[in-house]
Amino acid sequence: MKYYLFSLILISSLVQAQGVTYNLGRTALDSEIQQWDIAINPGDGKELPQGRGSVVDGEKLYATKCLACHGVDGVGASAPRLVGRNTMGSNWPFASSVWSYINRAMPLYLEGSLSSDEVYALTAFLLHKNGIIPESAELTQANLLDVEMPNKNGYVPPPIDQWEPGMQRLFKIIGPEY
Amino acid sequence: MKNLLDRRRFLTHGTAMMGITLGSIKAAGAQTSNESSNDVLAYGGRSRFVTSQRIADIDETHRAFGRHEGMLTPLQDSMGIITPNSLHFATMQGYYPPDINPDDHKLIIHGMVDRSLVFTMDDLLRLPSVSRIHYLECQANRPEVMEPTVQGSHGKTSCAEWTGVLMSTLLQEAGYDANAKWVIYEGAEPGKMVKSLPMKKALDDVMIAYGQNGEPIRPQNGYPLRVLVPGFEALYSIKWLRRIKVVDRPYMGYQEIRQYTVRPGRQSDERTPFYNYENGPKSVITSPSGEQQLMSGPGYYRITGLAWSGGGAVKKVEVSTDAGKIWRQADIEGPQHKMAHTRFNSIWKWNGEPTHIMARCIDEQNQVQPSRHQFARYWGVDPDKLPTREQRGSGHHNSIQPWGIRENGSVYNSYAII
Ligand code: HEC
Repeated sequence: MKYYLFSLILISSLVQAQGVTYNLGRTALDSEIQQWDIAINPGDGKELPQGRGSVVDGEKLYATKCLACHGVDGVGASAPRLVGRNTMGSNWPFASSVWSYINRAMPLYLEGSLSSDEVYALTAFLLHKNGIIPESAELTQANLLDVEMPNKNGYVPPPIDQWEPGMQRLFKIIGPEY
Repeated sequence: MKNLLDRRRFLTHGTAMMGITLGSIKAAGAQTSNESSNDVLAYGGRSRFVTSQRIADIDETHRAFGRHEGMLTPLQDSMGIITPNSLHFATMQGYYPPDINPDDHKLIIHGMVDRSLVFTMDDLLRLPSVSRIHYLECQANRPEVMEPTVQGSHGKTSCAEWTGVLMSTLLQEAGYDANAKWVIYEGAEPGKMVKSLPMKKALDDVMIAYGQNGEPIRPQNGYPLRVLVPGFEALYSIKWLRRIKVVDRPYMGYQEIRQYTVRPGRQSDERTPFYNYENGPKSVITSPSGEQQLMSGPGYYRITGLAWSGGGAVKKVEVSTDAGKIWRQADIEGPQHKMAHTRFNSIWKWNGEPTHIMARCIDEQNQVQPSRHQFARYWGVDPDKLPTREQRGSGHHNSIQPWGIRENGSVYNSYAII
């Protein structure tokens, strides 16, 4: 009896260490994951799909797919400005955020319709319009994260190791000097 | 099958019976009420004398493109701490709720895990569940000089009982890597909103919810599945959840940059922390509030309102009826759950003279809700510029909302004066 109890305890603690407690959910297929894995790691960009697009390609695409809402040269229409102060060019810290947002959310009402090459080209065009990359530039999965955004140091990384459940508001701890 | 048939027969029978009863009442000359519709009998409606409604959260850009502007909770009519599902606020980043069939919905968990898993809604319903009462509050919810009513200024907060699975349960099922410091998760709406969350929080109390106040979550609030991050700005609580990825760093998606994380009173290009987490301690008097009227002149009135904090439970609420000179402790009406709306009341004898009434929240960590001037001093900004729509980066704002009372008993927003 004692032995039986002991082995029961042993088995249940092993199960806990493994983390599989209920065995629910099926194994995800690689193809399923790949299709949905669209958030881009700003450190190494490992989720970026293969592809390429130039500023010149992007300019043509912009005229047909974006200009109606965002205006000529990214300004002067009712959708948010894409060039200048308080825009993606001046504010966003990583080129991966630009790529990822255009890929998932633009053009509005036709979200998800752009090919990877088109997203590289549109990103290149908008970064060029913001004076960040030259007109001759071409972006690919290999060089997108080499682009230095002007505001790359504008976001102070969260002091994440300081956050504990039940602590005071992080604001109060980091203070206004942030 | 038999049960279903029986039930159907009962319903038909029941409706026929009801028809007779209602018919006879009508014949007796009673007022026609909306209770005579079969739909209302099957899924209860409210009295035609109750007209409280959400209003649109006006957003010019969203309006220009025919997008969803978001809906504000009528706090001025609220009772107790639970927001009825029909009146829960909804801020949807412009998207109309996707029309998701729960039988087709799936949730993928992958990244730094031993096993990448896909859960169906049925799988999730088989896992251990919890039900907890929590508020949600948009980071942009705040006193606003130009907003005459509490619904307009503070209507981006609501409170519900949420039912679902703990995120920690799912992370354990997948076997998460102990070195992973973050999770990111994403919705199924057209823009696929994504958010990054510290792993410590994910393992602490975050829920993957499918129930809201005893029924499936409403479409605007994330049907069939959403994240619920207690105490954190509502932006963290992604709706229409379809993917969780265990990762080694924050990912900086669209709603994590731009004005969403900018510190109070700053332009979005200025230096700012990556993320803000908890909502500050906050309260607001819901009645009497802006555009209401103290009907019968001098005498006793019940001041009632809501308090909440991302820092835990509300410890106490103080009320001032003389523009902030004297503060008295209010009565707490019901339960004081952690990270939940808490109802306070204070009976007040109005002497008929003009004054300002206001409340402040003190949470279980002794964090005190600041006045407008304290809030501005802390952030080094001009208090007169702080609370306007035009000023970007005025979010994360928890200062005290005063209501002015005129001699004729009319109530107005006196934020700019106090
Ligand atoms: C039907 C109108 C429409 C079209 C077409 C459109 N956009 Fe947009 N775009 C918008 C709106 C509206 C927003 C604001 C979205 C929000 O606030 O959630 C936006 C936001 C953006 C942003 C983020 C700007 C910021 O700083 O907030 C970028 C980048 C962008 N669009 C790029 C593009 C590109 C590239 C295209 C062409 C492929 C495109 N858009 C096509 C309407 C449109």
